Amino acid sequence: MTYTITVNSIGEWLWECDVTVGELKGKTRVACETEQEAYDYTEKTFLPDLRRNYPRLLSDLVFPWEVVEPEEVIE
Amino acid sequence: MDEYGRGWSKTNPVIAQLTGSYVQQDPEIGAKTVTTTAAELFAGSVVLDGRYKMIVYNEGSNNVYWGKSTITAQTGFPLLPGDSVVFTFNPTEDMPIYFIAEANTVVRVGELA
Repeated sequence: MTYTITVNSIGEWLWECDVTVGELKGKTRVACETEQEAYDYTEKTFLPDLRRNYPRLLSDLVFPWEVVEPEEVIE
Repeated sequence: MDEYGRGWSKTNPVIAQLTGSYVQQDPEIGAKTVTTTAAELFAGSVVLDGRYKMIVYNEGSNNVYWGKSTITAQTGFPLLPGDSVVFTFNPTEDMPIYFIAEANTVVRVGELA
């Protein structure tokens, strides 16, 4: 399951973040200095909260930092 | 019009319906994380359309702070662990409430519309 995050400036130190994940759409406003901070908040806080609150819709959502790389076996 | 200039009478009453004061749709409830970045708080994926009430309960062990978008942990109004706060809204107006904390803290949020 993939997700898209769109960040738009709506004022000084204010960003509107739109999220689409599966059939769920979300929108939130974040007060921070940079677009990257707003994106990081949306990806690392807002989206995980959505997964917790909508388990039936988003149980398949896996974030990049949750993917465990297979261990390399050296013989 | 009756003899007093009123547009209503006992036989022709005006029906007034109150809105924004009782639950008319499913409440939205969720657990949200308040972080060191100020962000608006609501229960679901978007602000509940027509919300007139929002209840926030701090189930974490740190204070969280609320206010307008410019708040910081030093300027916001504190919500202590185990405490709750209730906000009343005009259902037709967009009025975000921002939350911030000094460390990630989980709160429970309920919205009524």
